[in-house]
Amino acid sequence: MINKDVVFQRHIKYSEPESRGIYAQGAKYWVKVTDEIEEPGRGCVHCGTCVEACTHNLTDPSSATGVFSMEEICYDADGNRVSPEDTDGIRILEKILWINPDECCNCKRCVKMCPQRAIKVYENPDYHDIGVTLTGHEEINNIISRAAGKSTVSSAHMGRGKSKLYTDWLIDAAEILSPTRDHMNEYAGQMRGMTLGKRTARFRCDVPIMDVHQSYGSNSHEAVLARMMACIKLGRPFFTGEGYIHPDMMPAAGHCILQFGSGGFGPWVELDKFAGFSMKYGQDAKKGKGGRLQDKKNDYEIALLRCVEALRHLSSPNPQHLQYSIEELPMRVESLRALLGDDKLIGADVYGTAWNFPEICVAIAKAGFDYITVKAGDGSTGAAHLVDLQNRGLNIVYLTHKADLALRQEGLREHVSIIAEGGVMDSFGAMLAMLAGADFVGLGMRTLHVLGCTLCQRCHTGQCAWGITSRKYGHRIDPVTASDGIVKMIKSFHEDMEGMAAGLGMSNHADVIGARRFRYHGSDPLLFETFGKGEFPKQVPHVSVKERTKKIFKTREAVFAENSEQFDKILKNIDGDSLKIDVGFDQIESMHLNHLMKEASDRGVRKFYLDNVMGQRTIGTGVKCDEITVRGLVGNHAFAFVRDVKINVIPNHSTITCVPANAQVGVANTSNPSEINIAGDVSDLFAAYAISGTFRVAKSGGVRNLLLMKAGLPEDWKNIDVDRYQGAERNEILSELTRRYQKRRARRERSTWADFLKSFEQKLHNRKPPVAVYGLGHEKGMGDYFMEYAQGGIGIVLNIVNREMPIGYYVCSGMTAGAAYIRGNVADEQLGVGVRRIEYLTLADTEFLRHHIDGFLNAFSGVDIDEEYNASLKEFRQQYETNPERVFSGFCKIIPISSLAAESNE
Amino acid sequence: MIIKKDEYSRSRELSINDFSGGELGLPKGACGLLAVAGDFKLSALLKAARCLQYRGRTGAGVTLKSLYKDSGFYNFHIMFRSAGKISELEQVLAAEGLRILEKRDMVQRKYYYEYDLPVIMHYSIIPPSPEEMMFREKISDEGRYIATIVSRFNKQYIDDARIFSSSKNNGTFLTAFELQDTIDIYDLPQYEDRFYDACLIHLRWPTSQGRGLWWGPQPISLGEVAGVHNGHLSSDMANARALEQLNIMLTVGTDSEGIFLAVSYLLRQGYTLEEIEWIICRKFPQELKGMTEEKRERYNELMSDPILFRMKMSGPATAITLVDDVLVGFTDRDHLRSFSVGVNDKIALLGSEQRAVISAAYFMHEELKMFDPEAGRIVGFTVKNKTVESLDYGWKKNDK
Repeated sequence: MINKDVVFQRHIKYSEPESRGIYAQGAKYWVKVTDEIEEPGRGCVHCGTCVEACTHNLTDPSSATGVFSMEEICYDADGNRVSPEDTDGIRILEKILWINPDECCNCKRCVKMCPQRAIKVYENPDYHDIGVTLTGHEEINNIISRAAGKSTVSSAHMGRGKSKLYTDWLIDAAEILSPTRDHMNEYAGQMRGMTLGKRTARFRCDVPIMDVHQSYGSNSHEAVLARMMACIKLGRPFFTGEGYIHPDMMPAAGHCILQFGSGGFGPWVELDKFAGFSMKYGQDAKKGKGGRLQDKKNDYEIALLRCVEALRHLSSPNPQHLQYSIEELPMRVESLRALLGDDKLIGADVYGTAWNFPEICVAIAKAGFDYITVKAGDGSTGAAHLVDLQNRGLNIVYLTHKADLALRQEGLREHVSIIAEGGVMDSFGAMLAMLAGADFVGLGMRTLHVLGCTLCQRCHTGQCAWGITSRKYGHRIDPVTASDGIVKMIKSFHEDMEGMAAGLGMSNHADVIGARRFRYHGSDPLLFETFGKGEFPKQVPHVSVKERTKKIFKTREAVFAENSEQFDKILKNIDGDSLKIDVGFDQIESMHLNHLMKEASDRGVRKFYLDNVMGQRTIGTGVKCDEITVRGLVGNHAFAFVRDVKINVIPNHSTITCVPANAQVGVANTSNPSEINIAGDVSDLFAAYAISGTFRVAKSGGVRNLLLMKAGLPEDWKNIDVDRYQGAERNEILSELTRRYQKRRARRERSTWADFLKSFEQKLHNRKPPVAVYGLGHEKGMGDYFMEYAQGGIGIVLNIVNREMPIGYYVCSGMTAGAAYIRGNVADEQLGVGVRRIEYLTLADTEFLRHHIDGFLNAFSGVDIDEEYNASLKEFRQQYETNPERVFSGFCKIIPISSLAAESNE
Repeated sequence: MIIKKDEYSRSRELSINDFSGGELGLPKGACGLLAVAGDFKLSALLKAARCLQYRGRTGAGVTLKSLYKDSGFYNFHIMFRSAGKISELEQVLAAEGLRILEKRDMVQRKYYYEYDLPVIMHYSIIPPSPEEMMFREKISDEGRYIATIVSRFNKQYIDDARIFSSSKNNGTFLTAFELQDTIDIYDLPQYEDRFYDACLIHLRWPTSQGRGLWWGPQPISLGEVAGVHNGHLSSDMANARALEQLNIMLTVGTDSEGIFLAVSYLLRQGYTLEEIEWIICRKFPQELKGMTEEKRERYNELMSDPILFRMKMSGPATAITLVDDVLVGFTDRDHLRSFSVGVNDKIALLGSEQRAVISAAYFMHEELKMFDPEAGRIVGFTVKNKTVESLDYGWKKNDK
């Protein structure tokens, strides 16, 4: 309690510059706080709102304050300093508002929160007014930053020059030759009730404007929830980004389209609950590169969602490893279709390449995707290198037109929806993209403005003061009211667009798509050539209609109808809960086998025995069962996404040609099996993205085995039950989302953010990491890039054949968590980037190995693989049983050099 | 894009775009592969290759080695975009000194009604005398002379015709459709009981229509060289420059062709298989440490040659190349494509998937030793009169 006789003294002071000299770049923005003398009645009252509002502090990220801090000094009547506790002695209280403009990024949170309107933030001329037109402050400061060794990561737009959508376009209106229409009072201009997806899989949309993929983790919980609730309210799908979604949000799964980024983060369970999958192949804002989440943003809760270890950098690799080129797209779609069925959407997110974009669109359509998201230039991102942000891509209207034309020529335009995004700023830009041929447009940045985004370009720092890209400050957003704001903004744009469509005399969505009723009259030669001239043909001269009849587009129902006789015969063999299917080498093709297994599973089969298999793909994917035994060779992408199933693959010695129990490329990817035992070799990318389970391979693996292996499936995901929200009313879902959020918020309010996060730690420890054990064969050793980018999980190479060089190069390269145990020599130069080798094992290590060696020997000792291998296994067993210590002493352990100590990217 | 009204023809003739890619450029290849050398039955191989069909639908080709070995002439398979071009282009061949002994239609008439086909003809060709070859092109070697002329012809008349098989021994059969279509259109079963001792099969993934439909299918064959590749190289420009500076010109223009021509160049220059592996697949820099001093020196010597240095293949690739009697296969060092080999004393099977190799063995009733070569490792075989022999790393071709 402060005595009422206390005199207040108020000061506003600026902190000393952090450094002086060439590298002192100083404040980019100047923060001016007005005092009472300067503007009586509007001066700073030292209320401290700005201190609380500002979160930006790059120099000292752990600091409790940002640009502003408040200092209070107490004096007695004689002017001597006294302790603040000495309430009786205090006569003078000096309040100093310290301002450190160097940290300011112009997010304007302080300005908007200040009750006195006393704060002004503006460009600091000392920073901006340097150089000449050609080489201005941006270039000079860029050079100084690089020379000082600063990070080149930034976020959002680069904002270099205006967007090409900004000027020089004219959307037409009908006049005299045809009448305009009235969208307010008549059936005109209406863009409602469209579907995303044009074949069996469709999502009904009430607005033509979509949200874009932004991941949980890059966005705060509240920002994601606000956007998700807005999507549900608006009647459009919610795109999750590659960070999966929070279990609290699972009631909305039926409205969500999961993105499979190149990192493959997530538990990948309950996938039939979602509306579909989006494969992320590219993004204009970071061309050719994968996403990156910094260690500090990968907190305990994020690690649970993404099924990785916490507090390590998370890098999504640049390529999508399960498909290296367009020929592998159909295989991927086949696998996803097997997983999701015919009525779930499968989309592809691509950026507009410079020259072969039409080819890419056609390849995507031919591969069986339901929609293409064109990510054009001017799109933004939560983190990318400056050079990629500056490397602006092609214009969205141009790319949309190219995609539309290419698909029309191929006869596939009405098979595939196009979503155009990247640089759509408003209803005008949205309308242009649709008139150029897009079915839908995406607005990402605009949605964030509603939550407070002022484009301060600090998304990547995790310090967003508005709580959009910072999880810690997420509670500054109220998801329910924020979602209402987004809904109003989109509806306003939607109304604009309907008005423009009516002005063109159009009555519905179909009239607008690709109608080309606009003109470019600017100076860009490419755009002028394409859209500046009056004449263009209404139709392409030739369309290959045949393409549509390809079997890749056939539904399960159609396949059953066509092969009912053969299928019925096979299904007649169901014996209780088991079924034996004789594949007859080439008698049943991959998808047919998959459909058969699903049908059998629907009829109660839990155990499958597949005989005479010869490379059939997608075995087991999307099939709910307990056990699968395969005799023969397993084809590409088999056992992908399987869950809680025990799988055995054994060799087939029944014909002259022995069919080995090998597995081809990408087998068991993204899976959660109880165990998979393969009595042979596996090829590349075995168990890539695997989340949990035990994987045993008798012989060797190809290149990139256990790529991006995860750290185990948390209990939360194992027991999730959201069945009752499937097909539920929007309001029911929204109120459940709100209820769950309130619960979370209450829990959070009771503790600090750090403690709140800490409460998830035990759940992380309770996970059981996936383990893969390889025996190695005589044919070849383990391939290169073993456990590349692994984010948890354990790989064991037993080397039972005692190869001198058991493994290839780049071992565990880019691994951020997990470990590999390798028996035999691994030279330094074989190690990948960011890992080190430990030559001794602890007691816990040997216990762990003992358990898994026992499991390995149990799994394969009874299997006749081939003479040479059988003998080696026997020998290894003898050695292990007589002298286990000798076996253990041959192992080394490879672990990541702690990424906690890694240099931050700030 | 403004489409010119006359680009698409209403007759049965192919448009320039459909045939050559026109001004839009040339297609990239990416596909399923299967090759065999030794004593085998074509029908079993074709049956096995069908399991790769899912990897490619717009283009399927077959090369049969030694099919024409007794004919004594060069056997040209030429596709003409329209019948109207045939006589004019035959004159072009004559003007290059090639004598057409005999010609016949390779495709039954009914298929021209069923498919959008170019006119496909077989020609028996006799090259000029050694003196005349010297006079015309300063080339004394028959094979080189033919390759030069074919290469020039294919580049010059890209809009109207393509010589897609120009070997003295081998026959290549291509369509822009599926494998079964290629089998039907060329009536491949007619060759079932003829002599052949190696075969390459390729199934091509469709890229956009109109981008050189007929210039995409593989095997790509020039003289006694034929090859199949899947993947899409990012080193295509570097590879093309290396060949350009050796005056070896691409005739089809795809990334794949560069590999085959590089392999044939290197083999004929007498580089060992290991050296070819080094040049094309390359080693990780870390691997040099494990090499013997002698090998490392040789490696560094080869890498210091600026032309050889540009022959590295980057990006996804499994490639199988047939040069005279030698069949070699390899993947890129990063192993972005799979590659399987099966051998016994009768045959060697090379394929882009284990499934294809084992299927072929199964249909041939053969027991094989099967393995996936390690990333970036070359495998080589010679095949003569149905006898196949595995080549070791140090083997080099000696034509002299």
